[in-house]
Amino acid sequence: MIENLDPTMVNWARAQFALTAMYHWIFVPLTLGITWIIAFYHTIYVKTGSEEWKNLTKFWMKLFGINFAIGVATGIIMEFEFGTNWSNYSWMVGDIFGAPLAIEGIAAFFLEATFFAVMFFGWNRVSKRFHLFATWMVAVGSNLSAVWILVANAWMQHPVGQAFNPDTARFEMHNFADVVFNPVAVSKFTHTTSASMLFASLFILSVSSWYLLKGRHVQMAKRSIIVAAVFGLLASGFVGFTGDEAAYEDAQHQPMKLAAFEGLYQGEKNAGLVAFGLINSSKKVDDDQDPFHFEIRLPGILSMLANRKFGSFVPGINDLVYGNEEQGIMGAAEKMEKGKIAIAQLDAYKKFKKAGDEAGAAAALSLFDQNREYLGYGFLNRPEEAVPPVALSFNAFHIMVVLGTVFPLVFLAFLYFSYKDTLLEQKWLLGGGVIMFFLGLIAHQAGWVVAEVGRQPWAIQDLLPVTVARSNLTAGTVKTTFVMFLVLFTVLLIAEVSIMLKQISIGPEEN
Amino acid sequence: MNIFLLLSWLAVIVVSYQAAVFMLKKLNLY
Repeated sequence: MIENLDPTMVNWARAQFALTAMYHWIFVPLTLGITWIIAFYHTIYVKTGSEEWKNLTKFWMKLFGINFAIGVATGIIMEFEFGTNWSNYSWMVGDIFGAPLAIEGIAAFFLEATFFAVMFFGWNRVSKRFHLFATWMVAVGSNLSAVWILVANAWMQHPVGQAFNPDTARFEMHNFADVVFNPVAVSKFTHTTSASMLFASLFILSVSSWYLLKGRHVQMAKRSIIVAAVFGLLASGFVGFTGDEAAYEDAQHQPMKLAAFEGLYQGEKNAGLVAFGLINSSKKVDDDQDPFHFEIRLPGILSMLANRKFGSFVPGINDLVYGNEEQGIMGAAEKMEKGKIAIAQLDAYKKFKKAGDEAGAAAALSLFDQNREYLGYGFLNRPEEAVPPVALSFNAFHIMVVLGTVFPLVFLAFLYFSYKDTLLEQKWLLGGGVIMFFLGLIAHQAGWVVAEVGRQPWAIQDLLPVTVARSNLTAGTVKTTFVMFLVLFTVLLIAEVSIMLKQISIGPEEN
Repeated sequence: MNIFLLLSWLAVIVVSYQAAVFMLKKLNLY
């Protein structure tokens, strides 16, 4: 049974999923964003008929193709891990979680993959217009894939449109539209894909800056930069806007996550946002240490971010763990009691059913229903277990935000000097441009950490902790596959980087 | 809010293309 499982296995399973997701997340954002930029380049080629635009389009398409192949390989492994390491999770919520994943595979990915072939091999084989259509469909298809993956992820963060079946002890989908139009899903999709547009723009900026520094393919690099900088600038504005929306959704549905990434232990009215701070990583929820070594706060901004209202109360970690009667906040301790009642009544319901006692079963079910929204808390041993790693969430969130503020300034600088026609003379900017891709990668990975580490200990928010979602495997088994995947992914990454660098060094065809 | 976010997302793509073409023409790079 669950309580007899090896507790270290769950940490290895989490590490393995994090490893796979973070490797996957190197390739995917580039794919999601660059497909739009390639569609822009291709459209300009079809409109102008210029061979230079054709060569430019083919060059970026080639880099995209290398990246796409490795992204698919890591993505497939991630889906398998739900079955291997998280089989309790898959069994309990497979009816809901499996649907968007299946749609992603059947509809979106097939659409993307089909047109991918036309896009790559269609030069001089299909009409120009159909070829361009295929390129746009690759962009649409890859972003449609993201829709369904993010719908699935958002459901774990805010499980709507579901009902628990006490007879099977499984969660079942009751409203597909609620799952698809989950406000968390829409916010995640818009934030993640616009951040991917920004990331792909940084990639093009980096490669093109390198060409300009080397004095190679100057016209091609200038053209690539204009399109990427305009797209990146608009996308970064939208990333900020959707990031605000994502924080608002967190405050409504996952207040612990918001409190963790702001390092807010004691809730307050007119709460300030930490603009800059050094968090005390040894601070525990039940000790008296100061949460920060030092911090600079912007007064009232966190209240505005969380509730769209200055002066409003934002609950802190302590309020969410121990409760706050004055603010009407139920703590994890009280939720644990209710969760344990739900588990006990579910057990009683099954026993009554087996014994044919319908009245007893109905009474147990009624008590279960009164407490079922706290079901997951019943599996926690201490209320403090409801707190995610605060220092990691805080640092990841603030790294993401600081970098997200720098990127639009970089795009503006590139556009300004391009407009002045002095970009080639700005060696400092071109040198900085080369490393922008790596900063974009850090910002993207940090965003993933905020979203996924910040929701711990939940596999499904409030309903299923990761300790219950896991498979009945030993830690050694998962450790072995962790090492195997680490080696495999690193080899794949080295292969991708080598092929990419070789293609970049060859550069686009010249007329 | 959902519809507004999705429409804004589409607008980012459409406006970016138009703005990039405008800028390229302005700089004689189109």
